[in-house]
Amino acid sequence: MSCSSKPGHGSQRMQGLGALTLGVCLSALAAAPAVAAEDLSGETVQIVYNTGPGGAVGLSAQLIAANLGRFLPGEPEVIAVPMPGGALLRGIRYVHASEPDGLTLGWLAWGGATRVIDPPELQVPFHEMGILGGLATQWVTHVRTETAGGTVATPEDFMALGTIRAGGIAPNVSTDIRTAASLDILGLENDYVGGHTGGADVLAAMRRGEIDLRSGTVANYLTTIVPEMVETGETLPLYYWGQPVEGGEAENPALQGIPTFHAFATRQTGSAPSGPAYDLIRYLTRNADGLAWLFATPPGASDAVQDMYAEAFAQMMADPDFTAEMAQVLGAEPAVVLREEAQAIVEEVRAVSPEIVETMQGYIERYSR
Amino acid sequence: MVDSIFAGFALIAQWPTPLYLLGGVLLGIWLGAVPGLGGVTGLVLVLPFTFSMEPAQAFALLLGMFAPITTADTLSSVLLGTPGTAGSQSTVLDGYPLAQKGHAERALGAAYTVSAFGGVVGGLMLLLFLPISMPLIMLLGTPDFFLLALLGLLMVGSVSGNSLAKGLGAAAIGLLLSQVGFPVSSPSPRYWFGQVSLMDGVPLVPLVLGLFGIAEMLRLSLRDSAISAVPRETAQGGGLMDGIRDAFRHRWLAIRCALLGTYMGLLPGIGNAVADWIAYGHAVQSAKDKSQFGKGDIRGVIAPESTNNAVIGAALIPTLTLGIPGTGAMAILLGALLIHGLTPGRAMITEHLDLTVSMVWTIILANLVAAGLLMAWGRQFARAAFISGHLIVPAVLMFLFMGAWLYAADLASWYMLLGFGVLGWLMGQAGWPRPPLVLGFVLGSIMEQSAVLAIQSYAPADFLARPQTLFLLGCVLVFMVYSFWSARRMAVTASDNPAQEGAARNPWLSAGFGAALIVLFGWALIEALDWSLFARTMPMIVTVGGLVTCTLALIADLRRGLRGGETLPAVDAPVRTAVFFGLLLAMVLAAWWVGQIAAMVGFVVAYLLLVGRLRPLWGVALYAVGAGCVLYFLYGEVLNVRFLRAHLW
Repeated sequence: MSCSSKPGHGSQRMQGLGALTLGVCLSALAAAPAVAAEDLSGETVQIVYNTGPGGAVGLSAQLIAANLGRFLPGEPEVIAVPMPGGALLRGIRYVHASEPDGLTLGWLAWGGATRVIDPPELQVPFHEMGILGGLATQWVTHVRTETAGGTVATPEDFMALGTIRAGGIAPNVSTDIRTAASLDILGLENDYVGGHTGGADVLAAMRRGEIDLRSGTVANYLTTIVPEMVETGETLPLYYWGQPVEGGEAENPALQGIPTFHAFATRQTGSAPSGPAYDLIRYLTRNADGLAWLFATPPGASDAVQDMYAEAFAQMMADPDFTAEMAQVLGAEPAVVLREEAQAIVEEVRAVSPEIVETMQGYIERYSR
Repeated sequence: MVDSIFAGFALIAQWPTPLYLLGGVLLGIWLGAVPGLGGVTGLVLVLPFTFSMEPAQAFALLLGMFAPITTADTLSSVLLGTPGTAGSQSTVLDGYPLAQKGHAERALGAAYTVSAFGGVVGGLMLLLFLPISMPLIMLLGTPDFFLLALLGLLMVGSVSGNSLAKGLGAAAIGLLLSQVGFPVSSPSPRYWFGQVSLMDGVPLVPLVLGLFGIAEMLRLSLRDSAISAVPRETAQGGGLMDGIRDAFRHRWLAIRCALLGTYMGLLPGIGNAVADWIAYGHAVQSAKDKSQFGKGDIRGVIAPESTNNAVIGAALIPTLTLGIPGTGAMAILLGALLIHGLTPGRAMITEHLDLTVSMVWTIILANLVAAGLLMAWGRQFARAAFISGHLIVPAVLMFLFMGAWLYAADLASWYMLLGFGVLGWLMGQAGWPRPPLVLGFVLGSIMEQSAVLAIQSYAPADFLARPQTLFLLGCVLVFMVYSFWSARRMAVTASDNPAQEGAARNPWLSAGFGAALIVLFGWALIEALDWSLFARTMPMIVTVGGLVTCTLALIADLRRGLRGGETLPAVDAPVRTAVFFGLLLAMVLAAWWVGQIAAMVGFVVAYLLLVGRLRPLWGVALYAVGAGCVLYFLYGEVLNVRFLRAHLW
């Protein structure tokens, strides 16, 4: 083979070249992906997740991909595909715009509870998607025992601080909004330090003494914070936002000894929390924590496809081998959200009240810098 | 501890773990050598296979693959002028000119030697510092990260060529690009033009691949020759052994840079992309004779290559001991720990010490094996520098576009890659250096984030009470004075080698480019005025700085042009350049209609026939079929890439 600097000659030659090019291109086109089939044997199902690889969303997506095929007819190959970017919106939009052929699914950190305040052009009609289920999460708030304002050995010491440096990611993040609302209810001034790149970054800042208060997932709390910071006396757990129930918040048996925020605030302030700030906390806890990760098909997927995947998801989540693997990644048994519950949450978010939106916007504006 | 060292080795030596280690190394070499693949792609690919393995086997495969990537990425940096990964960006500056002189083997020999050394140092440091890592990691806080990044930015003078004003102007472009997307602690994105793909900022991969890769492929294509400007038989002193000797001759530089990489790796969030620039800057600053930097000084290869391998072992320290992953790749490794039932923290140096030590062994062995294999194959790889560039260009362009697609499976990433390719070419034609742009881009977000966090977390008096902050501040001041003096001296001694970054080119084109930048910075400044305090501060500093430096550069260019002494053409080979970019644009546009595989294969055929004028025709067909197979089987089947479907039918 050689490279000549001379031009080619003759129209015959050019026709030959055209045919050659066309032939190669057509043979490449023949390699286009297959379309969906009723039976999934031999197919490849892609689970698109909207974060980067690594982290709880990516790892859980990979575990689901490794297991879901066992519960589907024809036992297809299932792969996990990362699609980060656009403040988690890229992957969501991708799934929303995908063909409803049953070969593309979404495992999405959907953030619907706070997306209601996004401008219209960034809104996503989640209700149009085929909601199959998801996972819930919970957040534990803990404080450094040596803070800028003094030593904190008990919740009463914490309440006596007056001001606390709470660390977070951005003022429009669900946990940061709830931290702000919670501190308001407790009568503490929030000296908010926002702009960290993620949960691990906030944790590093806390260990360096740059912030005094943060919230971590139950998994993070149980696997990292307890052995590394609670048992060494570096931090003190304060409360967690429990799922709203009539007259308070549901307790989590895995967090025995730590009060819910409702119980904490009632004990420390002498009255049960109420008002717009607490309504906002309940809304976010119910909808952001109650459905942290959404499992969905693109809009237009047939009922049969949705039923098949919802059933497979439920079966997989009941499989002891799978839940044991998930527990290793999450640090706790996965909190499964089945289809009906997930659908209810998506609808609740869609019907969010203007008062909640206004309160939420107020907090975001207060801490935007 | 000694028992654990032996026990850790026993874990690695137990069959079939060595097989996984070797398999990982081979995979890592491939991932590093192909531009745009890299460690994250490899970890995502391999992780599911490790679910059912024993932990020692799993980490032999994962770390065995990950550790040598920064050794193998030198191939692309040296031979193609395109960074194989973010950790080998500055290697391009001297590695590629060495290849052009016919000294590719020498550059590779030196790089592999110091890469192995840096990797071993990083691994040993992981072992040594595990028990005492926490105070070291916690020593530096956000104000110190800001000063470290500023220190890195001061290296601009070292990579600016003969015009400091243009270097600063290019750095300002990079800093401005780093401001795209969500600002720190504010919910409204900046400079995003309503594009979701820009909400999280401009991605590094298309920027670096476009700026260097596409621009270098165009330059190679226009030369109608091989990468090396001299024939293989006449390239004296450019052998593999010469490179190894160079590495030993500059051993103190290698040692300093390996230690530098170790500490940079320890700091969460800094990473290879920053460390290799700082190492390169250190090599320039500490050299007595700086005249050959940017033109093929072997020290410009040794410094970053020693550093980037040391970073990896050290970056595992915060991941293993504190559960704080500093980079995306470390986040995946952290996940791998969790999947295997291991909790990062104290337990990794108590109850799982054997496994932790086995990771150290893996890193050390993987680095040594990879360097050995690459040395053995070095001569064959280096031959690529002597074959026709037209055989290399289409394949490399295909890898570059797939690299961008792997990073974000979205046509926007292709448009960005092509856009940065045009920018890289234009900067080369106008005589504006590209490295400061990358330096500014990489450091801009770190500087802004750490500054904003430091201002929120510390009172002004706190800064003065931190000895480490005062020490770094002193370093910044000393380096600031030294780098300006040094940059002026370099500018005076810089030659007129047109291939060198920032070499003097046609003054009118350069002036036009400078004027366009003034308009850009002016617009960006006006946009920023309405934003919240923290959101607007950094863009305002950057744009005002950019306006000042670009105005100075513009004045200098106008004066040079009016003197009329320059007879250089405005643009080299304008028609062939237009054809090159036209073919690429046609490929990007066609991808939507006919699908990516067809569009890329079509581009390969069109390039070989129209630009390379390759004969015989069956050779073109063979090349195109090979390209199609790589795309379909390698990217589609092995890497599970989601190709864009055809919209025409």
